[in-house]
Amino acid sequence: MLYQKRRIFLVGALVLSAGLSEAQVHRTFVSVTGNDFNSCLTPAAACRTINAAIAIVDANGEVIVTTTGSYAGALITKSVRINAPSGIVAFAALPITINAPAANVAIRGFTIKAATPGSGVGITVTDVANLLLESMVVDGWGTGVEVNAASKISISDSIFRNNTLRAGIEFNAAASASVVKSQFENNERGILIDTGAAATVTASRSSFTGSTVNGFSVFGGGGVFAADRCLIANNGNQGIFLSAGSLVRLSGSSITGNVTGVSTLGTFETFGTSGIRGNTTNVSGTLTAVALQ
Amino acid sequence: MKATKLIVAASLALGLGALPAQAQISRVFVSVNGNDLNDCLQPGSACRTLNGGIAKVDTNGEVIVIDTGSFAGATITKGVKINVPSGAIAFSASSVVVNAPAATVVIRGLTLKAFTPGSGIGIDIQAAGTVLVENVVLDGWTSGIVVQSGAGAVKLDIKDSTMRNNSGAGVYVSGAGAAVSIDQSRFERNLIWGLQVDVAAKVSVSRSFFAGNLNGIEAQVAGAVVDVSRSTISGSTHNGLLVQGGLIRVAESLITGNETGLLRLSGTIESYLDNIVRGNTMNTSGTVTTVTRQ
Repeated sequence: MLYQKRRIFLVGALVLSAGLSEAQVHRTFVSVTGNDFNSCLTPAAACRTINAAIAIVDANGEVIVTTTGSYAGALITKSVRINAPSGIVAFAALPITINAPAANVAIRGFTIKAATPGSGVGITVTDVANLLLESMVVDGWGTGVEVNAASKISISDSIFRNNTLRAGIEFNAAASASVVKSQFENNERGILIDTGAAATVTASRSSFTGSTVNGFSVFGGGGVFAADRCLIANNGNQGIFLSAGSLVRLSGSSITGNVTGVSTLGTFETFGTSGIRGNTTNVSGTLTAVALQ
Repeated sequence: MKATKLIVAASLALGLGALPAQAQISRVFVSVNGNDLNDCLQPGSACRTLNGGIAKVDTNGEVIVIDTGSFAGATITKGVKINVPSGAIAFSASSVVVNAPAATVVIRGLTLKAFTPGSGIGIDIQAAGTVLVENVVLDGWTSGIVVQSGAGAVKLDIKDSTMRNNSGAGVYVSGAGAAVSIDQSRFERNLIWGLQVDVAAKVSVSRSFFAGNLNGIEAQVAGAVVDVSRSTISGSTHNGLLVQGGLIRVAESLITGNETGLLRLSGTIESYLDNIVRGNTMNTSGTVTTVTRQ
Protein backbone atom coordinates (compact mmCIF):
# COMPACT_ATOMS: atom_id res chain seq x y z
CA MET A 1 0.00 0.00 0.00
CA LEU A 2 2.84 2.36 0.58
CA TYR A 3 3.68 3.11 -2.97
CA GLN A 4 5.20 6.20 -4.42
CA LYS A 5 1.92 7.04 -5.93
CA ARG A 6 2.11 10.75 -6.30
CA ARG A 7 5.40 10.88 -8.05
CA ILE A 8 4.42 8.51 -10.77
CA PHE A 9 1.50 10.67 -11.78
CA LEU A 10 3.75 13.65 -12.17
CA VAL A 11 5.61 11.98 -14.95
CA GLY A 12 4.04 14.27 -17.44
CA ALA A 13 2.32 13.59 -20.65
CA LEU A 14 5.39 14.60 -22.55
CA VAL A 15 4.95 12.07 -25.27
CA LEU A 16 5.25 14.02 -28.45
CA SER A 17 3.39 13.36 -31.62
CA ALA A 18 5.24 10.75 -33.51
CA GLY A 19 6.00 11.35 -37.12
CA LEU A 20 6.02 8.52 -39.53
CA SER A 21 9.75 8.75 -39.99
CA GLU A 22 10.48 7.90 -36.38
CA ALA A 23 12.90 5.10 -35.82
CA GLN A 24 10.49 3.61 -33.31
CA VAL A 25 7.56 1.74 -34.76
CA HIS A 26 4.76 1.79 -32.26
CA ARG A 27 2.00 0.68 -34.62
CA THR A 28 1.73 -1.09 -37.92
CA PHE A 29 -1.23 -1.70 -40.22
CA VAL A 30 -2.46 -4.86 -41.92
CA SER A 31 -4.85 -5.00 -44.84
CA VAL A 32 -6.15 -7.58 -47.26
CA THR A 33 -4.77 -5.37 -50.03
CA GLY A 34 -1.41 -4.92 -48.27
CA ASN A 35 1.97 -6.41 -49.01
CA ASP A 36 4.51 -7.73 -46.56
CA PHE A 37 7.24 -5.84 -48.44
CA ASN A 38 5.56 -2.56 -47.53
CA SER A 39 6.68 -0.42 -44.62
CA CYS A 40 3.35 -1.18 -42.88
CA LEU A 41 3.51 2.21 -41.17
CA THR A 42 0.33 3.61 -42.70
CA PRO A 43 -2.94 2.03 -43.83
CA ALA A 44 -1.95 2.76 -47.42
CA ALA A 45 1.34 0.92 -46.97
CA ALA A 46 -0.11 -1.91 -44.90
CA CYS A 47 1.31 -5.39 -44.46
CA ARG A 48 -0.62 -8.34 -45.78
CA THR A 49 -0.15 -10.73 -42.84
CA ILE A 50 -0.20 -10.45 -39.09
CA ASN A 51 3.21 -12.08 -38.74
CA ALA A 52 4.86 -9.51 -40.95
CA ALA A 53 3.30 -6.66 -39.01
CA ILE A 54 4.36 -8.22 -35.71
CA ALA A 55 7.91 -8.53 -36.98
CA ILE A 56 8.05 -4.84 -37.91
CA VAL A 57 6.39 -3.30 -34.88
CA ASP A 58 8.37 -2.67 -31.71
CA ALA A 59 7.83 -4.75 -28.61
CA ASN A 60 4.68 -3.43 -26.92
CA GLY A 61 3.53 -2.00 -30.23
CA GLU A 62 0.10 -2.27 -31.81
CA VAL A 63 -0.82 -4.16 -34.98
CA ILE A 64 -3.98 -2.69 -36.45
CA VAL A 65 -6.11 -4.54 -38.99
CA THR A 66 -7.87 -2.16 -41.36
CA THR A 67 -10.06 -4.30 -43.61
CA THR A 68 -12.06 -7.50 -43.68
CA GLY A 69 -10.02 -10.41 -44.94
CA SER A 70 -8.03 -13.51 -44.10
CA TYR A 71 -4.68 -12.94 -42.41
CA ALA A 72 -3.08 -16.34 -41.80
CA GLY A 73 -2.12 -17.26 -38.25
CA ALA A 74 0.47 -15.72 -36.00
CA LEU A 75 3.51 -16.63 -33.96
CA ILE A 76 3.83 -14.14 -31.14
CA THR A 77 7.15 -14.00 -29.33
CA LYS A 78 7.06 -10.53 -27.79
CA SER A 79 4.66 -8.09 -26.16
CA VAL A 80 2.19 -6.88 -28.78
CA ARG A 81 -1.45 -5.89 -29.20
CA ILE A 82 -3.31 -7.07 -32.26
CA ASN A 83 -6.37 -4.93 -32.82
CA ALA A 84 -9.20 -5.50 -35.30
CA PRO A 85 -12.22 -3.18 -35.07
CA SER A 86 -15.73 -4.48 -34.62
CA GLY A 87 -16.80 -3.42 -38.09
CA ILE A 88 -14.67 -5.97 -39.91
CA VAL A 89 -14.02 -9.69 -39.86
CA ALA A 90 -10.31 -10.37 -39.40
CA PHE A 91 -10.23 -14.04 -40.20
CA ALA A 92 -7.54 -16.68 -39.73
CA ALA A 93 -7.74 -20.36 -40.54
CA LEU A 94 -4.28 -20.97 -39.19
CA PRO A 95 -3.44 -21.17 -35.50
CA ILE A 96 -2.00 -18.50 -33.25
CA THR A 97 0.88 -19.52 -31.01
CA ILE A 98 2.06 -17.35 -28.15
CA ASN A 99 5.52 -18.08 -26.84
CA ALA A 100 6.55 -14.83 -25.26
CA PRO A 101 7.88 -15.29 -21.72
CA ALA A 102 7.17 -12.33 -19.41
CA ALA A 103 5.33 -10.48 -22.18
CA ASN A 104 1.94 -8.76 -22.33
CA VAL A 105 -0.16 -9.77 -25.32
CA ALA A 106 -3.63 -8.61 -26.31
CA ILE A 107 -5.63 -9.89 -29.25
CA ARG A 108 -8.85 -8.07 -30.05
CA GLY A 109 -11.46 -8.78 -32.65
CA PHE A 110 -10.21 -11.87 -34.49
CA THR A 111 -12.25 -14.71 -35.94
CA ILE A 112 -10.10 -17.82 -35.96
CA LYS A 113 -11.55 -20.93 -37.45
CA ALA A 114 -9.92 -24.27 -38.18
CA ALA A 115 -9.34 -25.15 -41.81
CA THR A 116 -10.39 -28.70 -40.94
CA PRO A 117 -13.29 -28.73 -38.48
CA GLY A 118 -12.49 -30.37 -35.15
CA SER A 119 -8.74 -30.36 -35.62
CA GLY A 120 -5.81 -28.52 -34.14
CA VAL A 121 -5.62 -25.83 -31.48
CA GLY A 122 -6.76 -22.30 -32.26
CA ILE A 123 -4.60 -20.41 -29.79
CA THR A 124 -1.74 -22.18 -28.03
CA VAL A 125 -0.35 -20.40 -25.01
CA THR A 126 3.13 -21.84 -24.61
CA ASP A 127 4.36 -19.02 -22.41
CA VAL A 128 3.26 -15.46 -21.68
CA ALA A 129 2.84 -13.36 -18.56
CA ASN A 130 -0.48 -11.72 -19.43
CA LEU A 131 -2.86 -12.47 -22.27
CA LEU A 132 -6.01 -10.52 -23.03
CA LEU A 133 -8.47 -11.92 -25.55
CA GLU A 134 -11.23 -9.47 -26.42
CA SER A 135 -14.13 -9.82 -28.84
CA MET A 136 -12.78 -13.04 -30.30
CA VAL A 137 -14.53 -15.84 -32.15
CA VAL A 138 -12.75 -19.20 -31.80
CA ASP A 139 -14.57 -21.77 -33.90
CA GLY A 140 -14.18 -25.33 -35.07
CA TRP A 141 -10.86 -26.40 -33.64
CA GLY A 142 -10.12 -29.55 -31.67
CA THR A 143 -9.35 -27.23 -28.76
CA GLY A 144 -10.12 -23.54 -29.04
CA VAL A 145 -7.48 -22.23 -26.64
CA GLU A 146 -4.90 -24.39 -24.91
CA VAL A 147 -3.11 -22.86 -21.93
CA ASN A 148 0.15 -24.59 -21.11
CA ALA A 149 1.71 -21.96 -18.87
CA ALA A 150 0.91 -20.38 -15.50
CA SER A 151 -0.18 -17.19 -17.23
CA LYS A 152 -2.71 -14.57 -16.25
CA ILE A 153 -5.46 -14.55 -18.82
CA SER A 154 -8.47 -12.28 -19.28
CA ILE A 155 -11.17 -13.11 -21.78
CA SER A 156 -14.06 -10.81 -22.55
CA ASP A 157 -16.89 -10.52 -25.05
CA SER A 158 -15.76 -13.63 -26.89
CA ILE A 159 -17.35 -16.73 -28.40
CA PHE A 160 -15.88 -20.24 -28.30
CA ARG A 161 -17.90 -22.63 -30.39
CA ASN A 162 -17.72 -25.99 -32.15
CA ASN A 163 -14.38 -26.99 -30.64
CA THR A 164 -15.27 -30.62 -30.59
CA LEU A 165 -12.23 -32.67 -29.61
CA ARG A 166 -11.40 -31.30 -26.15
CA ALA A 167 -12.78 -27.94 -25.10
CA GLY A 168 -13.37 -24.29 -25.84
CA ILE A 169 -10.51 -23.56 -23.46
CA GLU A 170 -8.26 -26.19 -21.91
CA PHE A 171 -5.98 -25.42 -18.98
CA ASN A 172 -2.94 -27.65 -18.52
CA ALA A 173 -1.07 -25.42 -16.09
CA ALA A 174 -1.68 -23.34 -12.98
CA ALA A 175 -2.95 -20.31 -14.87
CA SER A 176 -5.34 -17.76 -13.44
CA ALA A 177 -8.05 -16.72 -15.83
CA SER A 178 -11.01 -14.36 -15.83
CA VAL A 179 -13.85 -14.76 -18.28
CA VAL A 180 -16.54 -12.12 -18.66
CA LYS A 181 -19.46 -11.77 -21.06
CA SER A 182 -18.43 -14.71 -23.18
CA GLN A 183 -20.23 -17.67 -24.72
CA PHE A 184 -19.14 -21.30 -24.94
CA GLU A 185 -21.37 -23.20 -27.33
CA ASN A 186 -21.34 -26.71 -28.77
CA ASN A 187 -17.84 -27.63 -27.65
CA GLU A 188 -16.95 -31.02 -26.23
CA ARG A 189 -16.51 -29.08 -22.99
CA GLY A 190 -16.88 -25.37 -22.56
CA ILE A 191 -13.86 -25.06 -20.30
CA LEU A 192 -11.65 -27.88 -19.07
CA ILE A 193 -9.17 -27.67 -16.21
CA ASP A 194 -7.26 -30.83 -16.91
CA THR A 195 -5.85 -33.35 -14.49
CA GLY A 196 -3.12 -31.90 -12.33
CA ALA A 197 -3.58 -28.33 -13.53
CA ALA A 198 -4.19 -26.08 -10.52
CA ALA A 199 -5.78 -23.37 -12.62
CA THR A 200 -8.19 -20.82 -11.20
CA VAL A 201 -10.94 -19.64 -13.53
CA THR A 202 -13.46 -16.95 -12.65
CA ALA A 203 -16.37 -16.60 -15.05
CA SER A 204 -19.05 -13.94 -14.86
CA ARG A 205 -22.01 -13.13 -17.06
CA SER A 206 -21.06 -15.94 -19.41
CA SER A 207 -22.79 -19.00 -20.82
CA PHE A 208 -21.71 -22.60 -21.19
CA THR A 209 -24.27 -24.31 -23.35
CA GLY A 210 -24.80 -27.22 -25.70
CA SER A 211 -21.52 -29.00 -25.01
CA THR A 212 -21.47 -32.63 -26.03
CA VAL A 213 -20.00 -33.54 -22.62
CA ASN A 214 -19.72 -30.85 -19.89
CA GLY A 215 -20.28 -27.16 -19.63
CA PHE A 216 -17.35 -26.90 -17.26
CA SER A 217 -15.02 -29.68 -16.11
CA VAL A 218 -12.47 -29.60 -13.30
CA PHE A 219 -10.39 -32.76 -13.31
CA GLY A 220 -7.91 -33.71 -10.65
CA GLY A 221 -6.88 -31.69 -7.65
CA GLY A 222 -6.28 -28.01 -7.22
CA GLY A 223 -8.48 -26.52 -9.89
CA VAL A 224 -10.87 -23.73 -8.91
CA PHE A 225 -13.87 -22.51 -10.86
CA ALA A 226 -15.95 -19.56 -9.70
CA ALA A 227 -19.09 -18.87 -11.71
CA ASP A 228 -21.16 -15.76 -11.09
CA ARG A 229 -24.28 -14.88 -13.09
CA CYS A 230 -23.61 -17.61 -15.60
CA LEU A 231 -25.92 -19.83 -17.63
CA ILE A 232 -24.93 -23.47 -17.81
CA ALA A 233 -27.53 -25.24 -19.89
CA ASN A 234 -28.33 -28.07 -22.25
CA ASN A 235 -25.02 -29.85 -22.01
CA GLY A 236 -24.87 -33.49 -23.08
CA ASN A 237 -23.69 -34.79 -19.75
CA GLN A 238 -22.98 -32.63 -16.69
CA GLY A 239 -23.39 -28.89 -16.45
CA ILE A 240 -20.45 -28.73 -14.06
CA PHE A 241 -18.25 -31.73 -13.35
CA LEU A 242 -15.92 -31.51 -10.38
CA SER A 243 -13.31 -34.06 -9.30
CA ALA A 244 -12.00 -34.65 -5.79
CA GLY A 245 -9.66 -32.00 -4.47
CA SER A 246 -11.08 -29.25 -6.64
CA LEU A 247 -13.37 -26.38 -5.84
CA VAL A 248 -16.34 -24.65 -7.43
CA ARG A 249 -18.10 -21.50 -6.21
CA LEU A 250 -21.45 -20.85 -7.78
CA SER A 251 -23.48 -17.67 -7.41
CA GLY A 252 -26.34 -16.01 -9.21
CA SER A 253 -26.29 -18.65 -11.90
CA SER A 254 -28.74 -20.92 -13.65
CA ILE A 255 -27.96 -24.57 -14.32
CA THR A 256 -30.71 -26.18 -16.32
CA GLY A 257 -31.47 -28.64 -19.07
CA ASN A 258 -28.35 -30.73 -18.53
CA VAL A 259 -28.41 -34.48 -18.00
CA THR A 260 -26.82 -33.86 -14.60
CA GLY A 261 -26.72 -30.29 -13.41
CA VAL A 262 -23.85 -30.62 -10.97
CA SER A 263 -21.69 -33.66 -10.41
CA THR A 264 -19.20 -33.12 -7.64
CA LEU A 265 -16.64 -35.16 -5.78
CA GLY A 266 -14.87 -32.03 -4.62
CA THR A 267 -15.97 -28.93 -2.70
CA PHE A 268 -18.95 -27.22 -4.29
CA GLU A 269 -19.86 -23.95 -2.60
CA THR A 270 -23.13 -22.18 -3.24
CA PHE A 271 -24.43 -18.89 -1.92
CA GLY A 272 -28.16 -19.53 -2.05
CA THR A 273 -28.48 -17.40 -5.16
CA SER A 274 -28.44 -19.93 -7.99
CA GLY A 275 -31.04 -22.15 -9.60
CA ILE A 276 -30.15 -25.78 -10.28
CA ARG A 277 -33.40 -27.03 -11.74
CA GLY A 278 -34.76 -28.82 -14.75
CA ASN A 279 -31.85 -31.18 -15.20
CA THR A 280 -32.55 -34.93 -15.42
CA THR A 281 -30.55 -35.14 -12.17
CA ASN A 282 -30.01 -31.78 -10.57
CA VAL A 283 -27.20 -32.53 -8.14
CA SER A 284 -24.95 -35.53 -7.65
CA GLY A 285 -22.73 -35.05 -4.62
CA THR A 286 -22.73 -32.51 -1.80
CA LEU A 287 -23.24 -28.77 -1.97
CA THR A 288 -21.78 -26.54 0.74
CA ALA A 289 -23.80 -23.46 1.61
CA VAL A 290 -21.84 -20.27 2.20
CA ALA A 291 -23.27 -16.97 3.46
CA LEU A 292 -23.16 -13.78 1.48
CA GLN A 293 -21.29 -10.87 2.97
CA MET B 1 -36.66 28.31 -37.37
CA LYS B 2 -32.99 28.57 -36.66
CA ALA B 3 -32.45 24.98 -37.70
CA THR B 4 -34.28 25.57 -40.94
CA LYS B 5 -32.10 28.55 -41.71
CA LEU B 6 -29.00 26.51 -41.02
CA ILE B 7 -30.07 23.77 -43.35
CA VAL B 8 -30.83 26.29 -46.06
CA ALA B 9 -27.50 27.95 -45.52
CA ALA B 10 -25.69 24.64 -45.65
CA SER B 11 -27.46 23.65 -48.81
CA LEU B 12 -26.50 26.91 -50.45
CA ALA B 13 -22.94 26.52 -49.33
CA LEU B 14 -22.74 22.98 -50.68
CA GLY B 15 -24.15 24.19 -53.95
CA LEU B 16 -21.48 26.83 -54.21
CA GLY B 17 -18.79 24.39 -53.19
CA ALA B 18 -16.84 27.02 -51.30
CA LEU B 19 -17.06 26.95 -47.56
CA PRO B 20 -14.18 28.83 -45.97
CA ALA B 21 -16.36 31.84 -45.33
CA GLN B 22 -19.11 29.83 -43.67
CA ALA B 23 -19.61 31.01 -40.14
CA GLN B 24 -20.71 27.89 -38.31
CA ILE B 25 -18.90 24.61 -38.46
CA SER B 26 -20.85 22.03 -36.52
CA ARG B 27 -18.76 19.03 -37.58
CA VAL B 28 -15.47 18.22 -39.24
CA PHE B 29 -14.03 14.97 -40.52
CA VAL B 30 -10.66 13.33 -39.89
CA SER B 31 -9.12 10.64 -42.06
CA VAL B 32 -5.80 8.88 -42.34
CA ASN B 33 -5.84 10.12 -45.94
CA GLY B 34 -6.70 13.67 -44.92
CA ASN B 35 -4.62 16.81 -44.68
CA ASP B 36 -4.81 19.47 -42.01
CA LEU B 37 -4.68 22.09 -44.76
CA ASN B 38 -8.05 20.83 -46.01
CA ASP B 39 -11.27 22.53 -44.93
CA CYS B 40 -12.23 19.23 -43.16
CA LEU B 41 -15.93 19.87 -43.79
CA GLN B 42 -16.54 16.67 -45.71
CA PRO B 43 -15.10 13.17 -45.63
CA GLY B 44 -13.55 13.90 -49.03
CA SER B 45 -11.65 16.86 -47.65
CA ALA B 46 -10.90 15.56 -44.18
CA CYS B 47 -8.23 16.68 -41.77
CA ARG B 48 -5.32 14.37 -40.98
CA THR B 49 -5.13 14.83 -37.19
CA LEU B 50 -7.52 15.19 -34.31
CA ASN B 51 -5.99 18.54 -33.41
CA GLY B 52 -6.48 19.73 -36.98
CA GLY B 53 -10.14 18.83 -36.72
CA ILE B 54 -10.59 20.32 -33.26
CA ALA B 55 -9.05 23.61 -34.32
CA LYS B 56 -11.50 23.97 -37.19
CA VAL B 57 -14.74 22.91 -35.58
CA ASP B 58 -16.87 25.30 -33.57
CA THR B 59 -17.13 25.02 -29.84
CA ASN B 60 -19.36 22.04 -29.02
CA GLY B 61 -18.92 20.74 -32.54
CA GLU B 62 -18.23 17.16 -33.55
CA VAL B 63 -14.95 15.74 -34.86
CA ILE B 64 -15.75 12.58 -36.78
CA VAL B 65 -13.04 10.03 -37.58
CA ILE B 66 -13.93 8.12 -40.71
CA ASP B 67 -11.29 5.42 -41.03
CA THR B 68 -8.70 3.35 -39.23
CA GLY B 69 -5.33 4.97 -38.66
CA SER B 70 -3.08 6.80 -36.27
CA PHE B 71 -4.19 10.33 -35.50
CA ALA B 72 -1.70 11.75 -32.97
CA GLY B 73 -2.97 12.99 -29.64
CA ALA B 74 -5.24 15.90 -28.90
CA THR B 75 -5.26 19.02 -26.82
CA ILE B 76 -8.83 20.00 -26.09
CA THR B 77 -9.43 23.53 -24.86
CA LYS B 78 -13.12 23.91 -25.70
CA GLY B 79 -16.29 21.88 -25.75
CA VAL B 80 -15.98 19.24 -28.46
CA LYS B 81 -17.11 15.71 -29.29
CA ILE B 82 -14.64 13.27 -30.81
CA ASN B 83 -16.53 10.45 -32.44
CA VAL B 84 -15.02 7.26 -33.82
CA PRO B 85 -17.38 4.52 -35.00
CA SER B 86 -16.85 1.03 -33.65
CA GLY B 87 -15.77 -0.12 -37.10
CA ALA B 88 -12.59 1.95 -37.06
CA ILE B 89 -9.52 1.94 -34.85
CA ALA B 90 -8.49 5.50 -34.20
CA PHE B 91 -5.10 4.99 -32.66
CA SER B 92 -2.98 7.47 -30.81
CA ALA B 93 0.35 7.02 -29.10
CA SER B 94 0.13 10.54 -27.73
CA SER B 95 -2.01 11.80 -24.88
CA VAL B 96 -5.38 13.47 -25.01
CA VAL B 97 -5.20 16.52 -22.76
CA VAL B 98 -8.48 18.14 -21.69
CA ASN B 99 -8.01 21.69 -20.46
CA ALA B 100 -11.39 23.20 -21.15
CA PRO B 101 -12.87 24.85 -18.06
CA ALA B 102 -16.63 24.33 -17.72
CA ALA B 103 -16.85 22.72 -21.16
CA THR B 104 -18.45 19.42 -22.13
CA VAL B 105 -16.07 17.05 -23.88
CA VAL B 106 -16.92 13.67 -25.40
CA ILE B 107 -14.21 11.19 -26.32
CA ARG B 108 -15.62 8.15 -28.08
CA GLY B 109 -13.88 5.24 -29.67
CA LEU B 110 -10.18 6.07 -29.41
CA THR B 111 -7.44 3.52 -28.79
CA LEU B 112 -4.81 5.35 -26.75
CA LYS B 113 -1.58 3.51 -26.18
CA ALA B 114 1.58 4.98 -24.72
CA PHE B 115 4.48 5.42 -27.05
CA THR B 116 6.79 4.28 -24.26
CA PRO B 117 5.14 1.73 -21.97
CA GLY B 118 4.55 3.11 -18.50
CA SER B 119 4.88 6.78 -19.46
CA GLY B 120 2.47 9.66 -19.83
CA ILE B 121 -1.26 9.87 -19.20
CA GLY B 122 -3.83 8.61 -21.67
CA ILE B 123 -6.62 11.10 -21.00
CA ASP B 124 -5.31 13.92 -18.84
CA ILE B 125 -8.19 15.97 -17.45
CA GLN B 126 -6.78 19.25 -16.25
CA ALA B 127 -10.00 21.27 -16.42
CA ALA B 128 -13.51 20.60 -17.70
CA GLY B 129 -17.16 20.74 -16.75
CA THR B 130 -18.11 17.30 -18.01
CA VAL B 131 -16.03 14.63 -19.74
CA LEU B 132 -17.70 11.59 -21.27
CA VAL B 133 -15.43 8.72 -22.23
CA GLU B 134 -17.09 6.00 -24.29
CA ASN B 135 -15.66 2.86 -25.84
CA VAL B 136 -12.05 3.90 -25.33
CA VAL B 137 -8.99 1.69 -24.80
CA LEU B 138 -6.24 3.10 -22.57
CA ASP B 139 -3.17 0.90 -22.62
CA GLY B 140 0.32 1.15 -21.21
CA TRP B 141 0.38 4.66 -19.78
CA THR B 142 1.45 5.73 -16.33
CA SER B 143 -2.26 6.17 -15.74
CA GLY B 144 -5.06 5.68 -18.22
CA ILE B 145 -7.36 8.50 -17.15
CA VAL B 146 -6.44 11.11 -14.57
CA VAL B 147 -8.66 13.77 -13.04
CA GLN B 148 -5.95 16.17 -11.95
CA SER B 149 -6.16 17.96 -8.63
CA GLY B 150 -6.51 21.27 -10.42
CA ALA B 151 -9.54 20.00 -12.33
CA GLY B 152 -11.72 20.21 -9.23
CA ALA B 153 -15.36 19.19 -9.37
CA VAL B 154 -15.36 17.79 -12.87
CA LYS B 155 -18.03 15.30 -13.88
CA LEU B 156 -16.56 12.25 -15.59
CA ASP B 157 -18.48 9.35 -17.08
CA ILE B 158 -16.62 6.30 -18.36
CA LYS B 159 -18.57 3.67 -20.24
CA ASP B 160 -17.65 0.55 -22.18
CA SER B 161 -13.96 1.26 -21.87
CA THR B 162 -10.83 -0.74 -21.11
CA MET B 163 -7.96 0.41 -18.91
CA ARG B 164 -5.05 -2.02 -19.11
CA ASN B 165 -1.32 -2.36 -18.54
CA ASN B 166 -0.96 1.08 -17.02
CA SER B 167 1.96 1.31 -14.61
CA GLY B 168 0.07 3.40 -12.03
CA ALA B 169 -3.70 3.40 -12.14
CA GLY B 170 -6.28 2.63 -14.76
CA VAL B 171 -8.26 5.62 -13.50
CA TYR B 172 -6.86 8.05 -10.93
CA VAL B 173 -9.16 10.63 -9.35
CA SER B 174 -7.40 13.54 -7.70
CA GLY B 175 -9.85 16.38 -8.37
CA ALA B 176 -11.66 17.42 -5.18
CA GLY B 177 -15.42 17.24 -5.59
CA ALA B 178 -15.23 15.23 -8.80
CA ALA B 179 -18.22 13.03 -9.62
CA VAL B 180 -17.15 9.96 -11.56
CA SER B 181 -19.46 7.27 -12.94
CA ILE B 182 -18.00 4.10 -14.43
CA ASP B 183 -20.20 1.55 -16.16
CA GLN B 184 -19.46 -1.68 -18.03
CA SER B 185 -15.74 -1.11 -18.14
CA ARG B 186 -12.67 -3.24 -17.57
CA PHE B 187 -9.54 -2.63 -15.53
CA GLU B 188 -6.91 -5.24 -16.26
CA ARG B 189 -3.27 -5.68 -15.30
CA ASN B 190 -2.71 -2.18 -14.05
CA LEU B 191 0.44 -2.32 -11.99
CA ILE B 192 -0.76 -0.48 -8.88
CA TRP B 193 -4.49 0.29 -9.00
CA GLY B 194 -7.42 -0.37 -11.24
CA LEU B 195 -9.14 2.68 -9.75
CA GLN B 196 -7.72 5.02 -7.14
CA VAL B 197 -9.62 7.85 -5.45
CA ASP B 198 -7.14 10.09 -3.72
CA VAL B 199 -9.37 13.02 -2.77
CA ALA B 200 -12.83 13.83 -1.46
CA ALA B 201 -14.78 12.78 -4.54
CA LYS B 202 -17.73 10.55 -5.36
CA VAL B 203 -17.15 7.64 -7.66
CA SER B 204 -19.63 4.96 -8.67
CA VAL B 205 -18.70 1.75 -10.42
CA SER B 206 -21.27 -0.63 -11.85
CA ARG B 207 -21.17 -3.74 -14.00
CA SER B 208 -17.42 -3.50 -14.29
CA PHE B 209 -14.57 -5.93 -14.18
CA PHE B 210 -11.27 -5.66 -12.36
CA ALA B 211 -8.70 -8.39 -12.95
CA GLY B 212 -5.06 -8.80 -12.12
CA ASN B 213 -4.36 -5.34 -10.79
CA LEU B 214 -2.13 -4.93 -7.75
CA ASN B 215 -5.15 -3.34 -6.03
CA GLY B 216 -8.58 -3.37 -7.62
CA ILE B 217 -10.10 -0.23 -6.11
CA GLU B 218 -8.71 2.03 -3.41
CA ALA B 219 -10.31 4.87 -1.46
CA GLN B 220 -7.36 6.72 -0.06
CA VAL B 221 -8.54 9.66 2.03
CA ALA B 222 -11.44 10.85 4.15
CA GLY B 223 -14.24 12.10 1.92
CA ALA B 224 -13.50 9.67 -0.86
CA VAL B 225 -16.68 7.68 -1.54
CA VAL B 226 -16.73 4.76 -3.94
CA ASP B 227 -19.91 2.81 -4.68
CA VAL B 228 -19.28 -0.56 -6.27
CA SER B 229 -22.18 -2.61 -7.56
CA ARG B 230 -22.62 -5.67 -9.74
CA SER B 231 -18.93 -5.85 -10.44
CA THR B 232 -16.21 -8.48 -10.38
CA ILE B 233 -12.90 -7.86 -8.64
CA SER B 234 -10.55 -10.78 -9.04
CA GLY B 235 -6.91 -11.71 -9.17
CA SER B 236 -5.54 -8.64 -7.44
CA THR B 237 -1.98 -9.32 -6.35
CA HIS B 238 -2.69 -7.44 -3.14
CA ASN B 239 -6.20 -6.19 -2.41
CA GLY B 240 -9.56 -6.36 -4.14
CA LEU B 241 -11.08 -3.35 -2.35
CA LEU B 242 -8.84 -1.25 -0.13
CA VAL B 243 -9.93 1.60 2.12
CA GLN B 244 -7.24 3.71 3.71
CA GLY B 245 -9.65 6.59 4.23
CA GLY B 246 -13.17 7.44 3.18
CA LEU B 247 -15.79 4.88 2.26
CA ILE B 248 -16.33 2.04 -0.15
CA ARG B 249 -19.82 0.59 -0.44
CA VAL B 250 -20.05 -2.75 -2.18
CA ALA B 251 -23.19 -4.47 -3.43
CA GLU B 252 -23.98 -7.56 -5.49
CA SER B 253 -20.35 -8.07 -6.41
CA LEU B 254 -17.97 -10.98 -6.76
CA ILE B 255 -14.63 -10.57 -5.00
CA THR B 256 -12.42 -13.60 -5.44
CA GLY B 257 -8.88 -14.68 -6.07
CA ASN B 258 -7.31 -11.62 -4.52
CA GLU B 259 -4.65 -11.75 -1.83
CA THR B 260 -7.07 -9.87 0.45
CA GLY B 261 -10.65 -9.44 -0.73
CA LEU B 262 -11.75 -6.49 1.41
CA LEU B 263 -9.11 -4.59 3.37
CA ARG B 264 -10.05 -1.75 5.69
CA LEU B 265 -7.10 0.04 7.25
CA SER B 266 -9.03 3.18 8.08
CA GLY B 267 -12.36 4.64 6.96
CA THR B 268 -15.32 2.38 6.22
CA ILE B 269 -16.30 -0.56 4.07
CA GLU B 270 -20.06 -1.01 3.83
CA SER B 271 -21.54 -4.23 2.54
CA TYR B 272 -25.19 -4.97 1.79
CA LEU B 273 -24.75 -8.64 2.66
CA ASP B 274 -25.26 -9.63 -0.94
CA ASN B 275 -21.65 -10.02 -2.06
CA ILE B 276 -19.62 -13.11 -2.72
CA VAL B 277 -16.32 -12.62 -0.90
CA ARG B 278 -14.67 -15.97 -1.19
CA GLY B 279 -11.55 -17.65 -2.43
CA ASN B 280 -9.21 -14.83 -1.51
CA THR B 281 -6.10 -15.73 0.47
CA MET B 282 -7.76 -13.63 3.18
CA ASN B 283 -11.36 -12.73 2.48
CA THR B 284 -11.65 -9.71 4.74
CA SER B 285 -9.29 -7.80 6.97
CA GLY B 286 -10.57 -5.05 9.21
CA THR B 287 -14.16 -4.24 10.03
CA VAL B 288 -16.79 -4.60 7.35
CA THR B 289 -19.94 -2.66 8.22
CA THR B 290 -23.12 -4.36 7.12
CA VAL B 291 -26.08 -2.38 5.86
CA THR B 292 -29.60 -3.67 5.39
CA ARG B 293 -31.20 -3.56 1.98
CA GLN B 294 -34.27 -1.42 1.63
